[in-house]
Amino acid sequence: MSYHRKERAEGSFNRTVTLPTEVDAERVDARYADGILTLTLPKAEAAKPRQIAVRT
Amino acid sequence: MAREGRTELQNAENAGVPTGPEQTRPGPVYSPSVDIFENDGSITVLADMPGVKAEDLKIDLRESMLTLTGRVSLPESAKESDVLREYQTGTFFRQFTLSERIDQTKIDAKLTGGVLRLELPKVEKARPRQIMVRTD
Repeated sequence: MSYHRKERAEGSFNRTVTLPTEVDAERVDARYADGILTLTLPKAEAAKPRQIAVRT
Repeated sequence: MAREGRTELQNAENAGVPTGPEQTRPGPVYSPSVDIFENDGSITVLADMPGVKAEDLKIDLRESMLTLTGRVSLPESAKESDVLREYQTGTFFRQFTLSERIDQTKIDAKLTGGVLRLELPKVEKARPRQIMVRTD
């Protein structure tokens, strides 16, 4: 067997990111398809914007 | 080791050959990383095309020009705002010229985990063979 091109790399992927908000770790969803990882991280209730009613 | 049997593979983009029809789809065009190797019977092409689904991948071989085109569509909806965007979607495109005759009827293409594996069997007569020399 002889190679004409050897451009593809092998090894491991490793990445750490800091999330901008608190997330609900219990409801995190991970999906891997066609070489793409899709993580859905629902925001924690405490991090969601809310409206505060002003008493008069 | 005889090297005459080696397939000459040229990167069409680098050889100054026009890179196919003009693009009509907007968005960036990426050149996928490839591994290409051959044995006596076939040429194998591996191409990294993450995000491309089988139905969005087009493989074309005509007049010894092999063309790979894969489209990646955006999975996000318009309601989302970016937090960090490094990954862009577009079209994977790459062309090669094969000097070896390929048996078109036996080509096999498999797309697994965003990696294309393309088996291009050589036509029988292109395979190296040893000729026995008769002695008297």
